[in-house]
Amino acid sequence: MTTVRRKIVVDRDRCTGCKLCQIECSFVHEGGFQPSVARIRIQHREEGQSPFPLLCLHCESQECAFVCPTGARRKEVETGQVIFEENKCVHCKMCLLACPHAGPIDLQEEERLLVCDLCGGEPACIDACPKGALSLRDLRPIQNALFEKEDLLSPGLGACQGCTAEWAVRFTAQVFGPNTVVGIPPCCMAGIVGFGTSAGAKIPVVFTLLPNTAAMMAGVKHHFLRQKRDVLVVAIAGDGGTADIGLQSLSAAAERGDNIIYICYDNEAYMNTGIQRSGTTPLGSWTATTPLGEAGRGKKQMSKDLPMIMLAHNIPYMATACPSYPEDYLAKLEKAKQVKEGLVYIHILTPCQTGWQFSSEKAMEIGRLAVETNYFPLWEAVDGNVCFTKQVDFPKPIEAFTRMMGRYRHLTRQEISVLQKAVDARYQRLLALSKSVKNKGESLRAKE
Amino acid sequence: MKKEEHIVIIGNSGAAINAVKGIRLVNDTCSITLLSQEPHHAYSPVLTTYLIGGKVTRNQMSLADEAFYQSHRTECRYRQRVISLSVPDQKIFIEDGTAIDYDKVLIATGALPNPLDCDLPRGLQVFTLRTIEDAEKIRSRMSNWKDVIFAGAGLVSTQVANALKKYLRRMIFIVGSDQILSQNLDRCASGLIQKRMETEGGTFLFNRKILRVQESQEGITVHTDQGEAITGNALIVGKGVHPNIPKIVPEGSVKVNRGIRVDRWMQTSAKGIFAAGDVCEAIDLISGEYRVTPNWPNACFQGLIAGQNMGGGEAIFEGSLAMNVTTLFGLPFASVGEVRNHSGEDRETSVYLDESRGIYKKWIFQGDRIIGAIMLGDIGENALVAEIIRRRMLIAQKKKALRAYPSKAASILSGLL
Repeated sequence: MTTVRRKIVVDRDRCTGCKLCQIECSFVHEGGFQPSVARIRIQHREEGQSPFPLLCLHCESQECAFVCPTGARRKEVETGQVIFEENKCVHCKMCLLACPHAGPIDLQEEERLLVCDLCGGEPACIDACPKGALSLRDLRPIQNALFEKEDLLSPGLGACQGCTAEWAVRFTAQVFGPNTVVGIPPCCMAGIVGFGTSAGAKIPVVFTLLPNTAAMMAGVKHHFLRQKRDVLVVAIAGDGGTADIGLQSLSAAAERGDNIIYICYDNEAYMNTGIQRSGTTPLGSWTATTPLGEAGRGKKQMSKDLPMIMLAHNIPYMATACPSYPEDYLAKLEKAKQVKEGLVYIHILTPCQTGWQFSSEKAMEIGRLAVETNYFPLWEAVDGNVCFTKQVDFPKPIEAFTRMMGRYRHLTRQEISVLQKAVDARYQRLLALSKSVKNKGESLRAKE
Repeated sequence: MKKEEHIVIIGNSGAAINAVKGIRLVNDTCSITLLSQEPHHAYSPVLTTYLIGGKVTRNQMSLADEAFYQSHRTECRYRQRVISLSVPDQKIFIEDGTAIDYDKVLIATGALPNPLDCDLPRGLQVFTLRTIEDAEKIRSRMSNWKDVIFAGAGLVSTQVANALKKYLRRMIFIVGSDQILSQNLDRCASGLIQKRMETEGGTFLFNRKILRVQESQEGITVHTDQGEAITGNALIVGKGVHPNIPKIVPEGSVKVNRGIRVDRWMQTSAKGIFAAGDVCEAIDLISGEYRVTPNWPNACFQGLIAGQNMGGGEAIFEGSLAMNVTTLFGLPFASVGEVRNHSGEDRETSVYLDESRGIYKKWIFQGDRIIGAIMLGDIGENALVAEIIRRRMLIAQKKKALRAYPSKAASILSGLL
C-alpha cells in the first residue's frame, strides 16, 4: 500500500525565534497579524540554546485522535493527517494532555484549541520562514519502499546487540530484493553466510576471501551476464576488507567497469578480530593495536579517505551514507540499483558500540553527530560530480562527536584541535570539489 | 478448517469500542459480539458534564454508530444484562434466557458511582452523574434549582457545579475530607480553586459526614454529623466511583481485589477472560503496584491493548497513569502521575506559586525522575511533562534547574523530547 504522508519538519538549529511563521499563520487562519493565535508556537529555551517552533506533527501514533471524546479529531487514513473539526470540540483539553509533542495550542480565554491543518497542503509558514527552518517532507519513502518487501536475512546474525552494520546489511538486502547475490569476505557481517547447517540469508551468499571480494563478485556478475540473467551482484565488506586488504581488487574492478555494487560498511577498525587499527581508523583513536600509555596516544595517522580514492576512479555512481539517515541511504540504494554499466561504490559509516565504546542506544545519535560535525559528510557523485545530499550549515565542533565515545576519552584539547583541523581540511577539499563541478545532472551513465 | 474464534465484549464504552478496534487491527476473521446494557450506541462519558452545560448535544456524544459496528463487523446487542458466566463451558448466560458461546471474553463494564453511605427516605430523588440518562435527568430539572447541595467535592461534583453555575445561587459542598478534589490535587491547588468557587457562590463544609437526608419544603434537607441542617433544592452525589464488577465474574476463578486484577496483557487470572477500563486493576506506571485508575485515556489504551491480545496479536500495557485535565470556574488545571503522596525518602517537590495571577505549579520528583505534576492557571507545559513522566525519563541534569526555577519548566524541559 503506497501512501503519501507529509508533514512540516522543523530544523531546530535554524530557528531564530523571529515569529514570522506565527504572523503568517495567524493571518492565513484568523485574518489578523497576531502571533498569539497562530497554530505554531515558538518555544524559548535556556540561555545559549536556540528557540524552536512547536506545532502539530501529524504524527503516526496520534494519541490526540485516540483520546478525543467527541470525535472532533480524527485520523485521515489516506494522508495520515490529523483532522480537527473545531465545531465539534468542547475544549475538554484531553488532547493537550495526550499529545507528546505539545501540538495543540490552547486559547484559554476564548475556549478554543488551535491545531495545524497544513493549510490544505501548502503551509504558509514554510514560505514565511526566512531561515528555512520549516519544510514540508514526505515521510513515507521507507515505509512505501519496504512495506511489502521481505526481510531477507535471518534473525540472530550473531552481531553485537544494537549493531548498526547489521541494520545496514539487512536494510540493503531488503531494498535490493530477492534477485540478488551477495558476496562477503570475513568480517563482522560474515554471519549472513550462516553457521553450521543454518543459513544466514534467504538469498545466495558467496563467502569470498579478504583480498578478492570485488574480483570474485565481478566473476559472478560475468557468469550471470553470460546466462543473460539480470541479477544484482552486491559485495558487502568491512573497512579492513576494503580499504586495506581488498583495495587492489576493488580498484581493478572499478577500473574495468564491472557492474557490481560494492558496499563498504566502515566501523573504522578490524572489529571482528578484536579492534585492531585499520586504514580508516581516524587520528587519535584508541584501538587494540594503537594503545594508550606513556608513549601511545592512539592512532598517529589520519584515516584513509576511501570515498575520495574511489571518486578518482570516475565510476558512474558512488555515495557515502549513514544509518542515522535511512531515507538518504534508501535513495542512494535505489540509484545504485539503476546502474547497469560500471561499478557502484557506497561507503556507509556504521558506528560500532563495541569498538568505539559507547552504549548501544547512542548509535543513531553518534551517526547523526558524525554528519553534523562534518566528520563524515553525506554526499554522492554521479560520473565524478560531487553533490552533498545533506548540507550542514552550522557544523558542530568535533568534540560533540568525540566526547560521545570511549575510544576518544583520552584526547586533550590540543589533540582535539588537531583532529578538528584534519576534519575541516577534508571537508574543504570536498566542498571545493562540489563547487568546481559544472554538470550536476542526474543522468547515471549506464542509463544512456 | 479451523473454527473461527468468537470474542464477546461485555460493555459498550471507551474500552469496549477500542477493544473492537484493537481486535480488527490484528484479526480480520474472528466474530465479535458486543453486549451492551444500555439501549443506545456507545457515547462518551467524558461529555456528560458538557451535556448538562449545554455545550454538546446528545448526538455529538456518540462514539460509535451503526456504520462503525458494520465496518468492524461487530454484532452489537443492546439491553443485554448478563447474569452469569461459566468458565468451564465457555458460555455466557443472558437475562432473557439465551446463552452465548465464547472463546474469549472482555469485561469492560466500567464503574459505578459510590452511593451515599446513609439511609435515604423512600422515593427521594438524589442525583448522581455517570450515564447520559443521569445527565438528562439533571438537565430537565435544573431550571427550578436555586440552591444545590453537593455530597463530595471530587471531579464529578465540581464539574457539575461548573456546568450549573450560571443557573444557581448557591452551591453547598459537604466534603468528607478537608479539601476539595482530594484525589487529584494537593491542598494548595485545591485551595486556589476553592477560593475561585467561593466567589461564584460556592460554600464548603469540610470534615462532615452526612447522617440523614430528609425531604423538605424547598426540596431536600441534609443533616451532618456536626448538627447542621442544610436545605437546598437538590442533592447531587459525587463521592467517586467504584469498579462495576459484575456479579457474573465467577468466584475464585478470576482474581478480584479492588478491581478485576489484570496482567500486562490485560488478561485476568483466568485464561481467555480479559478486562479493561475502569473495572480493572492494572499495574501503575509509577509505583508498579496494582491500582484502579479510572480515567478516559487509560480506558481507551487498555481496551486497545486487550483487543490486540484477544485478536491474537501481542501488545503490552506499560502501566496506567493517573491524569486529569479540565477547567473549573475559568481555572484550567492539570494533574499527572503521583500527586498526593510525596512523603518518602527520595521524594522531593518543587513549587511555584503566583497568587496574583492565579498560577500554581508543582513538580514531584523521585530520585532523578519526575513522577507527578500539578499545573494550575497555566497548563502550557502539561503535555511535555506528561510525556516525560510517561517515558519514565531520567532527568538528573534538568532537575536542579527545575528545582531552582519551577515556573520555567517549559523552557528547561523542552530540549528533552
